[in-house]
Amino acid sequence: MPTEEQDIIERLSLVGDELQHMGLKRPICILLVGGAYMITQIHNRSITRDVDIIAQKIDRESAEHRLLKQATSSVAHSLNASPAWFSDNMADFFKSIGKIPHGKLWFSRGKLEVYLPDSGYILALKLISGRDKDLEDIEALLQNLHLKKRKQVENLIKKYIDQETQEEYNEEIQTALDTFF
Amino acid sequence: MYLNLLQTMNLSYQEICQGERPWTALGNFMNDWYEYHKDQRAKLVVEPLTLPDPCSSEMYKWAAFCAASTEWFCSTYGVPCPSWVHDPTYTLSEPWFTRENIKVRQWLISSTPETFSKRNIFCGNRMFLNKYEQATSHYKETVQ
Repeated sequence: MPTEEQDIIERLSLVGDELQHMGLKRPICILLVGGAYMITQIHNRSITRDVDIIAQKIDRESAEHRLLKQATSSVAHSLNASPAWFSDNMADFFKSIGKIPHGKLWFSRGKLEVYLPDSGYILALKLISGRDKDLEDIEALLQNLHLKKRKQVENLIKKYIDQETQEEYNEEIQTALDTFF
Repeated sequence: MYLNLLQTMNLSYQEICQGERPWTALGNFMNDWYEYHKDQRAKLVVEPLTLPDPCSSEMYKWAAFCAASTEWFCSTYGVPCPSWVHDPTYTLSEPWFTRENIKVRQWLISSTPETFSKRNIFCGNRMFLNKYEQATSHYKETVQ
């Protein structure tokens, strides 16, 4: 297993341990997205600075969310890292643009369970964003999913992204698709 | 991520020269700019780029891109712009369209910020979208 992948798992494991020490009764479930997903599941790159996640079944104001932030800050402090290494900055946006998949359990440690969405979901998010830094990931995901036709990708976007968002982000989506098809 | 390391623009450029994916290296710079070291932005850009010798055309293009990016970050966020970015070395002799498909060429030409286009770089306007500002923007939209 590549070093960076091990590092991501070790850091998440520390969070799970920390949540356990805090006395949490039920595990917190998170969905892995972003660069950490690409590294650990698609293996198309080796480095990411942070781990992007969507916390499932808890909202930002809940006690569980507060404990999750405390746990990740504690791990950051022990590693002399920025508390921003563990980021759910985009979670509210992702929740607002379509149904978040539950995903499959990847691993659990202490009171943390880490789930993985289909790679099609990650592709849909990256097409909405359409940033230059996403282009290599989009290419890798298209290969991973064996998507060769524009229509296939458009169907995948329809599956994960609601109609209103598709319309709002139409220019971004079309430009991203034009880059590849 | 680690607080004892400043991911300067020059460090990102050196990483590109050493074979790192350009958008990984520039993404690391963005993380520092927007979050990890946002209180030290001037320090992140003050150091001039160190070009390799010899400098391949590919590395030369990314040097121009880093200079344009530095000017863009400084002007957008009100940080004093270091003089090294204005060196004419960082203007390409031929246009560089960062996305090859001809279908997006008009979009690249029309949407690229001037700090890039004046250096003959056409890259569109989605280079530096980031989760830190997008999240803030979404939050504002939600609560308004």
